[in-house]
Amino acid sequence: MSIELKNITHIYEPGTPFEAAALNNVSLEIREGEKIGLMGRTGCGKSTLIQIMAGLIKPLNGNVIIDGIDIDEEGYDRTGLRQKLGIVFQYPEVQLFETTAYKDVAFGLKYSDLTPEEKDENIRWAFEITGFDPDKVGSKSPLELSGGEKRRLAIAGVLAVRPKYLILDEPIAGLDPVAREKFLKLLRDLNEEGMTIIMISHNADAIAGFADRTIVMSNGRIEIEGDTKTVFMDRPKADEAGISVSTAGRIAGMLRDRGIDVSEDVMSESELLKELCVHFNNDNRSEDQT
Amino acid sequence: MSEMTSVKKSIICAVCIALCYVIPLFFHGIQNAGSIFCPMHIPVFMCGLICGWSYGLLCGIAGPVISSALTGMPPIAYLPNMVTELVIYGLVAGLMMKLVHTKNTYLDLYISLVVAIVLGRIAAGIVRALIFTQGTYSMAMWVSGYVITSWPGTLIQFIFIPSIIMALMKGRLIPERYPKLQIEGRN
Amino acid sequence: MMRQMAGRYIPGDSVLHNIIPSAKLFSFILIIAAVIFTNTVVGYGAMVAFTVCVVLYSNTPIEGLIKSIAGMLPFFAVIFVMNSLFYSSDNPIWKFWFITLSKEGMIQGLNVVFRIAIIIIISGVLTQTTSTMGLMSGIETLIKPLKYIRVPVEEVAMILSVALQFIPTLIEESDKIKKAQIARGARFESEKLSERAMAMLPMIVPLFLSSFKRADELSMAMESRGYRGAKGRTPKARESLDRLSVMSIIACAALCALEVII
Repeated sequence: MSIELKNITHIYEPGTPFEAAALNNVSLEIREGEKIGLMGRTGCGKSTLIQIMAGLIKPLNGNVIIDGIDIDEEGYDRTGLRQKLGIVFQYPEVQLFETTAYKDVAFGLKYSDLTPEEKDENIRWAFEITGFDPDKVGSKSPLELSGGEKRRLAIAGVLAVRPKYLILDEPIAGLDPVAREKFLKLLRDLNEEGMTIIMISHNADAIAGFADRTIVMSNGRIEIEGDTKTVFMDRPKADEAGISVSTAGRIAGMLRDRGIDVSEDVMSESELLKELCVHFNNDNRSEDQT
Repeated sequence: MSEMTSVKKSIICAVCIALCYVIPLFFHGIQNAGSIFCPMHIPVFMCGLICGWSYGLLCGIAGPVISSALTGMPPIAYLPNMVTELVIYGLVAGLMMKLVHTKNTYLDLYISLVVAIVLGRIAAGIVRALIFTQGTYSMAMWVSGYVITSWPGTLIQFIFIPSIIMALMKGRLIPERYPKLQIEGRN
Repeated sequence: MMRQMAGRYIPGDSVLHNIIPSAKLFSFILIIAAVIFTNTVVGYGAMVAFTVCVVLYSNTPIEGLIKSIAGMLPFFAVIFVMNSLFYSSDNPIWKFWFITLSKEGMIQGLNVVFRIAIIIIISGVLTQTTSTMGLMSGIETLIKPLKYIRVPVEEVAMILSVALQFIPTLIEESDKIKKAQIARGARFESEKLSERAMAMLPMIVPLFLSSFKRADELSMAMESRGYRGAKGRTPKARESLDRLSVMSIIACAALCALEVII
């Protein structure tokens, strides 16, 4: 069970003076249960890539195969695809439109085959996991919520179908650090439950702390791909693709410069913390040995 | 945020003019969407209802003209009666909102909409009879063009416009028409 | 989504690109007037010759024009049929109830189709050779006389130019909203018209909300910077009427006069 992209090429407005290449022969496989980070400069094609993955843009060339079936095949069950794959766009709060929050979250379940009870259960789950009390917020107008609440509600609306694959485009842009941490925790929890998560972000800290595997795109191609640590460690390549060092990685580097022995592969905050604990606990002992 | 200054009215009018061009793109790909769904009418009504008659009038002229200049839709040949229709919509909707005060936002909106729609369609029919088809225009054609073909559009206008306006008020993007809740709460 | 714009501005350096926008718009109005007055065979010939010249001088890709005309064929057919069947004539070829097929009607139909086709071509050329900002400044110049009937011309010009600047942003926004709702399961392929109409609600409400939000932000920014109205605005540098532009107006005026006389 996976999402597979095979030789995807896409050009916007082919054959016009406004032609613009977006993707150039991209192949990629995303397995169920993975946490993927997708990075790259603005205009590198990552948004196009996820939209193709979600079947929202038909690529000029190449195939998108989800769970073994080509989504452009005749008679492909698009409604089923919508229940299977959720996508959270940048600033998802714009998609709210219903008169009550409950109805808005329920929108995606309109065409699902679930019974009304099952639907209600899903909706309540979506409210709760995004930190709302469905009984309190459900009857409010989504437009009366605060900015941060609107975003969470919009995400609840995507989660309500309990998608197997969840794609997020810059979900943490504009969130304060506390909200960001909370949100990343939500994604980790969803992943624990078996949801495959693909997240676009410019934020090196978030990707370093979250993704198992990182894909870096540049000029419509996949430039670097591999487990997150390896990608961030390969500085020359990462710098060229515009991927900065994570804050934790930078602090680790500074500590090393000052002679404190921190391992080179520290990327995320938790790793740095662990490393420092080990270091200061062993401090005396290691000095004895040398 | 919610006070309607003249600058704010101007910018809302500008946005509505832009939407006259953008919203029909949504309906693109549906055969005859323009005459059936009348997507361009919505922003003009909105502009008239929210900003007043003068802005509604400008939106009614500029909306279809800019759209026509940029895309060829509506075809220039249709512009005279389309502009007349939309000008009446914007103008009458704005005037009616000024005249009608029933203490119920929905009711005000519906009354204004009905009057504007009826007058607009009649005016468009007259203009069309006068200049476009030169004496060949009959009552039957008016009924088929402005009443029957466009009924889904009329339905859309009746349902969508009040919902959009209420949503904008909820989102505090435009002021409430009767901000009585707060006053009552205080008493 | 931008692809639908048939007459989209294509930068270039043709003769038509170089006529100043206000003169070009004025010429355009003259041509429209000329088209409306055209009603003789000689007049049609002159109109066609003129249109061909305009297209050649504009370096417009011919296929694009043919395509946009081809796209209008069903519309033309409807106009032609309506006119040939409903024109009230004294010597009909065939009559049934309120339907009258007549030679005059058919000629009238051809007339209308011809006029619309010419106007489509000319307006396509106009928008392909003039940038939106150019069109704006042209409109601003041309509506200036309205000041004398107390129309706030500066205000109107400001609104129009803001409207044009909003278009690309709003197109992008609407595209995004559409995709977000499709991804959430919105459907538009229903057989019933009323259902399909209702399916637009999840698109239109967010589009209005987000565009009014933008309007709110922009107007607040303008007011906080002390903007109180367009009156005191520094006028843009006026483009002076050069020889080319004067010639274009004269040519169009001549064509218009010719069509009126014959």
